Amino acid sequence: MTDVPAEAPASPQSDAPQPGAKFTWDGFVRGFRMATPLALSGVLFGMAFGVLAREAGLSLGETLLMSMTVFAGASQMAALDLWSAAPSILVLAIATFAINVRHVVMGAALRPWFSKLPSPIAHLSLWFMTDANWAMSMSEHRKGERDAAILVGSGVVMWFGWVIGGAIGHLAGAALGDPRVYGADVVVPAFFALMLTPLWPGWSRSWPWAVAAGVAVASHMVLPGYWHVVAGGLAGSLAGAFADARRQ
Amino acid sequence: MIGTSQAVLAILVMALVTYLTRVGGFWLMRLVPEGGFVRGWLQHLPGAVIIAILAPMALEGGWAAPVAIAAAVGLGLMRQSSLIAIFGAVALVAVLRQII
Repeated sequence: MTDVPAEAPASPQSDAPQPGAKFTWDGFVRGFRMATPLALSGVLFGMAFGVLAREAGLSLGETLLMSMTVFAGASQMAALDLWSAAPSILVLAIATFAINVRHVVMGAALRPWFSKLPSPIAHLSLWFMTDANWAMSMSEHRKGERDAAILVGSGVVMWFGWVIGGAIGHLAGAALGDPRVYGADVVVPAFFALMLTPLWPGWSRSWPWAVAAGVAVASHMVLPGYWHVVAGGLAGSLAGAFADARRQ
Repeated sequence: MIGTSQAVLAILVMALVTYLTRVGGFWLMRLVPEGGFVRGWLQHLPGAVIIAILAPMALEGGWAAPVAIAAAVGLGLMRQSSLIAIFGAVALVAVLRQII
């Protein structure tokens, strides 16, 4: 970990929004704590992945290698459907791209904040970017957070949850039951909804959200992978930006 | 423990593609001038992307996701910590599943 010593006071969120970026151990710990519920649900879904990976014929080493290096649940689940003794690398690469392409718009939104960090730290941080901790970081940024290490801290705890869950699932086999019984399947929608609340623009400016939702739901029916997130996200954000530009 | 080299190669290609999606947007934005319009657009992006992830999720799989979303937002608006809001929403769905 490259941590710059914290020179800020202990409660950075109480400060007025300030431009810039920092990267501290404090921020790492804050992110780690905030994403703990996600990591716990990640353990359960990692277990489900481990069970399915074993059934698809992956060894324990391959399962862990995939969880450690890919670290993107939906694309890993999809890969299992395409798996064989000698999997087609091109098909897997295309399917992985179609599902993870949503990261491209997410990374774009991080540019103004993370471009102020040293490049190696920014590139290491992006390695830990997932939907949930990206949403959390953007939401905290809107509330005044400037410590970019919350993305890494939250990503690291989720990474451990996902990898450990995968190992347990592969070793224990199918004797684990359905994670839905504990409500683990609703952790993710609940978390995203909670992260949305600080971003709420007010009723009169909320229609770009309706555009995003409408385009996402409609394109989800026709597009493969997660292109609907790209389509909905771009449609809603561009609609909002054009409306702002016309207003001025 | 690790089997065929083809499987390992496939996993590493998946990892590379995934990392490229993670840094791709960050790199592409270097080519875009940081003007007023782009700044405004990036301000709108997080909300729109989260809605685009959440909306299809909320419409699939019955009542559980909408109930959890409403509970989490409700607890969040009551200024509960995010930990309480999420576990509250999850507990509500788990209990309702036992009853229904």
